[in-house]
Amino acid sequence: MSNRTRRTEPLRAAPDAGPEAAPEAARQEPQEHYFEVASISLRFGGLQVLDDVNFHVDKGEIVGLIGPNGAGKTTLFDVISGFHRPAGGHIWFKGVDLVEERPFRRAWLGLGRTFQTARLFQNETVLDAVKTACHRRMGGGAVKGLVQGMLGSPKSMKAEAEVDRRAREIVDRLGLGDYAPKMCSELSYGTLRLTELATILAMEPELVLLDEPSSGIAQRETEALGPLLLELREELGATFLLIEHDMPLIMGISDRIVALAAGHVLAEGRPEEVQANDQVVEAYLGGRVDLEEVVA
Amino acid sequence: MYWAQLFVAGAFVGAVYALYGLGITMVYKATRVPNFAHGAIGTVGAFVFYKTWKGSQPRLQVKHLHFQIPFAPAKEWWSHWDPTPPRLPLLGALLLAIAVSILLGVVIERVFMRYMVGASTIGLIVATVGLFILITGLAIDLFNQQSEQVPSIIPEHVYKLGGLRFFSSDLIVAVIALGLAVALGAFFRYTGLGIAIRATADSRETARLLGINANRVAQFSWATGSALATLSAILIISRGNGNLDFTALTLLILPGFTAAMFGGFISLVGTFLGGLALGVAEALFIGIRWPDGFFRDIFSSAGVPQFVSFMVVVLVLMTRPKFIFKGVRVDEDSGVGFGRAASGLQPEDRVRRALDRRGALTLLLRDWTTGRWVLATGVAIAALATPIFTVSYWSTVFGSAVFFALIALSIVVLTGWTGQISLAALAFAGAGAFGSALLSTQAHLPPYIVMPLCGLIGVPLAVLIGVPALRLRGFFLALATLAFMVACESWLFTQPALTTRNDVDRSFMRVDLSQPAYYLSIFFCLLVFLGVRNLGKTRIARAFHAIRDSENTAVSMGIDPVKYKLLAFALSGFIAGIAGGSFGYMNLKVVSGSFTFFLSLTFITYAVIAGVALQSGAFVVPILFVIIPTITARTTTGTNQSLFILAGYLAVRAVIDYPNGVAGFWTRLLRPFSPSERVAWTTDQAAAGPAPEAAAASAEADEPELFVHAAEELEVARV
Repeated sequence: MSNRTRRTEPLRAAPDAGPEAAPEAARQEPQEHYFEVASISLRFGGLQVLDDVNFHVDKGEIVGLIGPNGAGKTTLFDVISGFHRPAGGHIWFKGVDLVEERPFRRAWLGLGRTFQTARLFQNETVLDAVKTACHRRMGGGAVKGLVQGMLGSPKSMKAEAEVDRRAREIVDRLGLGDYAPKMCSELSYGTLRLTELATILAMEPELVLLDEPSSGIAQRETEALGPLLLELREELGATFLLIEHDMPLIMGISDRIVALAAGHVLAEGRPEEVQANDQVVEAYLGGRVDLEEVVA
Repeated sequence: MYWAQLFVAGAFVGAVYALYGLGITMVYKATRVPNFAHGAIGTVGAFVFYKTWKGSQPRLQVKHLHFQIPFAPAKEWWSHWDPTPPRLPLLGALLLAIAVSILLGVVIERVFMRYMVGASTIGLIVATVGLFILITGLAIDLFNQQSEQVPSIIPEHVYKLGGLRFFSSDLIVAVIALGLAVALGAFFRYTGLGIAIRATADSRETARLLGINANRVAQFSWATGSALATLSAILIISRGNGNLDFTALTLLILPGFTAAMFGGFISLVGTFLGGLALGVAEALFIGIRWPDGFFRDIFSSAGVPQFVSFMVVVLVLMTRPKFIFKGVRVDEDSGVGFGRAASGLQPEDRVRRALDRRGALTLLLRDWTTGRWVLATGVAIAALATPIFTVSYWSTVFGSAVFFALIALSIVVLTGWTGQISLAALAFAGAGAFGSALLSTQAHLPPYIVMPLCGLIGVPLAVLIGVPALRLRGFFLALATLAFMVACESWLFTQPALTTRNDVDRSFMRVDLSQPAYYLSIFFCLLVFLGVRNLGKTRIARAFHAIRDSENTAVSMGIDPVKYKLLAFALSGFIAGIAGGSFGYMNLKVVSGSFTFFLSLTFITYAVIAGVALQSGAFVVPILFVIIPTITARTTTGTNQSLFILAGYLAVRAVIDYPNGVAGFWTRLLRPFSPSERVAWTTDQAAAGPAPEAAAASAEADEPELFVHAAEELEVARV
């Protein structure tokens, strides 16, 4: 009990630059950063999953989100993409508060994400999954699309041909050509991950949330993932926020790192700074100091 | 006093609902299966009981399988088998009925449900709906379908207390229901077996690791649930007017599920209270003395209880009170990959391999492009020419085929494409059919205007029932649509305003034969099929599929689930409405008996057998379930249940083994051949043989350094 209180005490003060003043300021001037998570909190029953999380991402950056299991990383992603409603706080993206937007609207604002357990459409082919990701680009109303689609109007046929061409291009460029007619359920994990990246490419988001892109793929593939993500950034001109457990990968490609533990931001800064941070080390290795005290 | 008496009467009716609901909750709690067959099992038990105790004793007849098998003798041995059930004393009959239902439960578990572990909610719903149809069909065939008066097992007394009257049968049923709720609750909470059952329901794998025999636990749950169903059915008949009647008993499925819904399908006490609440709500609503006018007209017909049930379900599902939905877990992905993921060679792969060995596959695939046109032209000529050259009978049959195809298509769009289960396809069709009667006779509109309007009638109804679907998945949605279907069947379609104006005016067609109506139907059917075919290639269909496979991924791609689900409901309602219109023109007279919830459930099984995920499945349905039965059926006395029995059985098998259905078989059989497939065949053989690692290794090797390659490709493309 005692070590928990002791650990949380310094952590509350960790996001320096006056945490009391920050949320108010953010509310008044949301334009300050390209993307900003402002004092987001979330409870699941008695568990405080996210507690006053604050950090920001600037345009064009790759920001890595690290933390031990149960730190609230994926939950934070779910809050950002709208699958959980936070108890308090704001998420500013290009001057819009995402918390107030419905989940699917966030994709229209330029948010794209992948999931921890790659859950693409099991009963769709790779090509169709990529085409589905072009949904936002195609635009247009649902009812209008239905009527035009059923009548086979030239306009909708043209749009479909265009999407087909584009999707094939993306699939080919990621070297997935052979897999295009395969069902997503038939793919191996690595191929599925790559297909997910293909859908991201097709969505053309401005801010990409990647949840453990390296999980479940082989080591030599992980090594290639870093350059691939950098290429993706060049290609899309997008900003990246990624969760990753593979330290060489995330430290190698991130411009900045945010370390999360037990729903708090432990540290934030350049990769080498965060790596050197004592609290981060402790969070990862798990209260070594406390253990020694107990033994003594 | 009037209201107090109504309240008490309603509470006692509610106790009956609670009895059924308790069984449903018990099975769900123990196995996570929403058992739509619960009522059917109870019905069988009740029939066994009364036929051996004091009911009329018809000879048991096995009339099913009355198909003309080519070259087989006209009379098979089973049509001679008609034993008379034995006459037993009360206790003996009761024990026999319970033993039969326990056996039924065990057989269901062993033969079907054991292979459904890990299946999606939709799969479980379709499977139990299939069981419902299978069991009901068998029971109707075996016992007499006509309803009869039977004596109560409870001696009747009337007690008076403060001006209120209480019947002994009511009191006993209420006490038993309450006792069961408490006893079952205690069983699940305090006994080792009860805890083991709950653990198995939560996680079968973990329970097995802890040494629980999961299969035996499931078997016990099904046996108990079935015995409970029989007991409830017997008590319900005894408490009511002593009417042993199939329709009345199967209709109890709705209030039973509604009661269980109040307990979130988990809480037994909640189920009991929910049953009471529903009974009271119905009694009070019926008791309202409406002033003369509109409300008096619409609420004086039969079926008001079903209407109240529907309203209660919708209200609860729309407001989602915390006390009900506290423990409810909403399943994330629905999907139509019903059962477990298929592994190894599928049947069509075996056929392909066999054909390939004989060198026939290449030929077949090469000629299939031409072949399909030849086939399509042949079907078109047959469909168009038959009514000209034959008697009116065949155009009626073909007209019915059109109706089946359209209903199946409406299910394909909604359930197969969008993953939203709906048991109310015939409600929209019924609305369209009554619409065709009103529009053609009252408004004197020509058929080519009436037909699209019939479709438009289905749209608002479908959207209305789609609204609860926005926040619900799986069997809450199934329940809402079932409630809607039953309410339409019993209440809406029996409104005097509709039943007195149910003639369809065909005078626009000059000759009043069924042929012109048939051509009208087939024209609109063709239009709808082409439209849906076009739609299948657009972003709208992709959005439907995305919502079906993973709603979260769809949302993260910017697809509005609300809009597209409602759109799918609207489209499904439109298609079913057109089907109703064609039904009206073909049959001239629209009656509610053509749009029952039983038939609506049957259509779900038809669609699944034919292949619910594919549009061609809708084309297969009329071939399998109208054309072939018409050709092979032999005239029998009474209702021929063979089709329902077969459909129920095949639907469960399809969910377990082959969710692609017949259409999926054909599509996959005739898909283009890829050389890697031959490799897969050999590796599959290898995997089946001594070295399973070989297949894994080849799969690994099959995947070159994708990410390295992709990074390079991107770089090259950019430079």
